[in-house]
Amino acid sequence: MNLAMSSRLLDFTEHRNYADISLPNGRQALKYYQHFVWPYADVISSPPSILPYRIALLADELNSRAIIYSNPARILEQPAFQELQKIGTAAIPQLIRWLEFDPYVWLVALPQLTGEDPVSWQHVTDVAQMVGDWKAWAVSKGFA
Amino acid sequence: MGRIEGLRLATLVTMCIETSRKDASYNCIAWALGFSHVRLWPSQDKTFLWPRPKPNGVTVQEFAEVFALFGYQPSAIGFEPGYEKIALYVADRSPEHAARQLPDTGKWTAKLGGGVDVQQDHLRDFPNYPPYGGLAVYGQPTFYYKRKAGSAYSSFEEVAECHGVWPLPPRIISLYEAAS
Repeated sequence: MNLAMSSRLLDFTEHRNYADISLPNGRQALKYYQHFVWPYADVISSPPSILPYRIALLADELNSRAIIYSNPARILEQPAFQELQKIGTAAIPQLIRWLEFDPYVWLVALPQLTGEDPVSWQHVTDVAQMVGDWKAWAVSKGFA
Repeated sequence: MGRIEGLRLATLVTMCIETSRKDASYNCIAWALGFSHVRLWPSQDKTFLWPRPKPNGVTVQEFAEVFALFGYQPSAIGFEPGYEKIALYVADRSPEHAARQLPDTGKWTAKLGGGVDVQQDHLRDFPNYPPYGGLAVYGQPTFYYKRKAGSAYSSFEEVAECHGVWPLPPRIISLYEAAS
């Protein structure tokens, strides 16, 4: 879902809790109806975090743009990678899940994002074992 | 049918055949040398291997020297029956990609990073592979190397072993770890 679209949707539903009322001095004002104007008001009025969606969009963009490169420098210079770097460790659990079904880009990006490289030298020719090393690392660090 | 799917279909029909599924096990340099079990790039991390443990940068010279380990010598462009050729793509003097010419048909095959293998009639078609953005992606095919097809050439393991890298005994692993 488009992030901008989802934020507009939240704004719209939030406005449904208000109604125009007439004040005694003849002026108009907005009154907030929390409970009955819209039944899901309390659910929506606490904004859900969009961070997981943002991470998913960035991960998808980075993966689709960078998978064609053999040069790791080209992968790491992608704007989506820079954004993921700004998000920091909050992105790691989702990226570990990506690693399992589309590992190429993440085997390059994860050491840069985490500052660690848990892959054993004995496993460097076997992608499944490399992914296994990362998953074990994520469990040990509380990311999975 | 979406726009991207349409482009992919048009590509298949007019220029390019995808000859494999997406595979992270190997990359373009490995595929150009005929290997499908290693990712090759002169970097210092564990995602990519390189036959020489201390590569001399990401340079055309470094690639040429490693190609020579597998029997490839500098060549001119053009199909020569009975010869395998590698085209090295260069952007800003930095190698970015490689494709291999098949010795029997003259068609070119290449692995797109960690993505699919593609095969095309003409080298000029490769940068125009529409799903991946066209001409600027890999630079231009600039340097060519060839070797006689059908001869016995070294495997990656043999070449790496002769440089003391394969099959990664503990002493060599510690060398890599010290360098990275």
